[in-house]
Amino acid sequence: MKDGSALKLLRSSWVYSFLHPFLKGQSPSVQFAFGLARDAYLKRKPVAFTSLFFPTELVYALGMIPFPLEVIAGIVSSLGVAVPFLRKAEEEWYSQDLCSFHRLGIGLALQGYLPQPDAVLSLTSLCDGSHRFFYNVSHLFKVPHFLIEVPGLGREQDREYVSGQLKRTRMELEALFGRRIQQSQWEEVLGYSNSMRAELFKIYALQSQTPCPVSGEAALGNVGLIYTCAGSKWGPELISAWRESIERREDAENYRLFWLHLRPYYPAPIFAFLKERGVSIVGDELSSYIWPELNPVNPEFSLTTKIYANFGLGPIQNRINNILRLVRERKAQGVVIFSHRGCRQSTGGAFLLKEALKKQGIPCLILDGDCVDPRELNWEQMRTRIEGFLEIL
Amino acid sequence: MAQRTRTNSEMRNEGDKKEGSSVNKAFWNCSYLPLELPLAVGLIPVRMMAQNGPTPLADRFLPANLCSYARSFLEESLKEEGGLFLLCDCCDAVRRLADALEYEFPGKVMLLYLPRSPEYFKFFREELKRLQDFLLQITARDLDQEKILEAKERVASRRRYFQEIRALAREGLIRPLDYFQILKAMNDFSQNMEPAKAGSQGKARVFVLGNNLDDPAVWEAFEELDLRIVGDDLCYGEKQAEIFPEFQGEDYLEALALSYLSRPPCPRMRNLKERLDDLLNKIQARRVNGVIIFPTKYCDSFFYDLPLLRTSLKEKNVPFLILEQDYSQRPLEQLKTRIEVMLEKGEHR
Repeated sequence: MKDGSALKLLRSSWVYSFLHPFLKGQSPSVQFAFGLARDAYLKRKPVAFTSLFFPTELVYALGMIPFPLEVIAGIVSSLGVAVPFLRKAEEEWYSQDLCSFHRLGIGLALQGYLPQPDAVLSLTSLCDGSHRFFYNVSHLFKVPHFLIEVPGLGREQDREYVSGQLKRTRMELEALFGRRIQQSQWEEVLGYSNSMRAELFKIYALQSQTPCPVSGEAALGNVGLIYTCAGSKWGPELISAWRESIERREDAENYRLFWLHLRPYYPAPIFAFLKERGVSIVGDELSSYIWPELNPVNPEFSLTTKIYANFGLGPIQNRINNILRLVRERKAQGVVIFSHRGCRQSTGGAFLLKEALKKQGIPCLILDGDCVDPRELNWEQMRTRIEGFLEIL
Repeated sequence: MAQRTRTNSEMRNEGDKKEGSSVNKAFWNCSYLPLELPLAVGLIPVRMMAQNGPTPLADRFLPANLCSYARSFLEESLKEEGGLFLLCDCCDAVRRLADALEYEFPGKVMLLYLPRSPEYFKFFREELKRLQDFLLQITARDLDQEKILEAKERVASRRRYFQEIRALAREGLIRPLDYFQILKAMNDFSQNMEPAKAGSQGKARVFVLGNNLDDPAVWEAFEELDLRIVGDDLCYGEKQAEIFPEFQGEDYLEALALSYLSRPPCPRMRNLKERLDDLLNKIQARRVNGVIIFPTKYCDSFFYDLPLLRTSLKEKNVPFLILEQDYSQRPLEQLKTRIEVMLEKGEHR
């Protein structure tokens, strides 16, 4: 791995001191991201690279900083600078067929743009690529990889199995960093998570309104936030600020669509085009992730229930049932499946999903593309397909 | 070549005539699945082989950017008249394959959760119990100690025989295509383990690495190139032949769980370091002239192995070649040329 000038800048406390005054007036999410980057690069606390669905409450309770590599990949892509990092990973034999979120993460690591982690924490849910991606990252940085295996069915024995692994991981991390989570810390962290959850319900209620005042683009953009700040004091604050920023909508709403999987994060004309056509994205499956209230009396078991609230786990029927429920709740007329090229778990089930929706009379469009690799965008083709779909609606 | 190479379907049909129709078959996908259990309840375990060519039936369910083995498995299943489908939850592609199979064959699919390390063998034992209950219920048969011991011996005898063949292959006494046929028969109880024919002395010592290499034409190409297969690290090859569960009167499910999870790991499991060390030891001990790596296209687990594997092989100065395995294509001439180039390069090292 390189240890180049970019990393030197990111590790310089002077840079953060210089930027700090410019934070005034910025949104809470920018302030949160700034603080997270500063603390991680300056190593103010131990850093844990985390996978998207890893329960960050455990990380915050341990006094660590979660550094969510897939979310970082999305941010880098949104800045329009993903391609050199993707190319770097490909040069090092990370196949172009692998998920671009992960390839980009590897590229960032190889080019020396990531902070030095103290541990790598990942779940096997939802995707298998994530297990091997995080293993390879831990190998590059020579730090331990803690993997939680999540059997799909969510039976009692599965939950005990996951809960046991979480407990063991917690104990190993406590030993590694010489600190022990106190009950009061669990109460505080899970309390923040529960407050954030309550705030999210308010957003969902707004998404059901007609016309829908919540920007679908923003909701899809906030997926990373929802997964990263659960358990942090920032969690409820950020979601509350998001809600307060939502304004009453005056323009016409011609179509209401529900979105599956993620969105393209690089600059692309898709959302401007949808807005122009009066399309509301009234929700998406990943930001509609609602877990039961967490209980600090048995924190690991409680976090396990959060993991199993993800309806992408298990047989596809779970996902179908939940999508049908959300489509009804949000009064959506149709569904868009954004088929991220390197994603096996989501795109693998797209045809069965489409079939199930068709049986319920819900039109569905499968849009092939890539969330972070702009080289995969064929906008003209995508626009034609969206136009055709809107005509059906 | 075309005259000699029978399709897998043809070979399976020949097996049918010998051992009953496909309704008694248990089609399986992963070598972590203990074959002793379906055998003990009177089913015929058959590893589903991938077929070369398009997959029009499977394309209705699975997209093109999904593992070509999973798509081929579905394609072949949709041509079957019946049978059960016993799957290990290896990856996202298999999970989606299970969804599609369940859609077409409701109640005939069992998806077992496979832990990624032997330390979780107790969990796997419970999964095997679930598999056993499923098999007993669906076949309406019973199971006793005698049947399970008999099944254990049937599996073990095939594996012992394959081990003998493997030793002969290393000496250059078994031709690659025969090695493949015996390897395949080891996992397909509708076929007999035919006695191996004596073969020519292959010159170049080659180690084959990959997920599955189900196209007989590729093995025939090895033969034409006069290769000697001194080992493999395929999903269903040498590694599987090393599994010999030990049990008599005690908890056989626990013994099966521990034994299967303890075999040399595949790319899907946790212990990659152990896997790479094991592989490199084998490759060096067998004095190979080259390693041919056949990752199945879109197998994320295997593709994440490649950067580390490539670095390790380079460090050891072992010539290697990576050929993506996509069952929708069969570029044999290109394959032969690339293998020849790799071996020539190795000679000049």
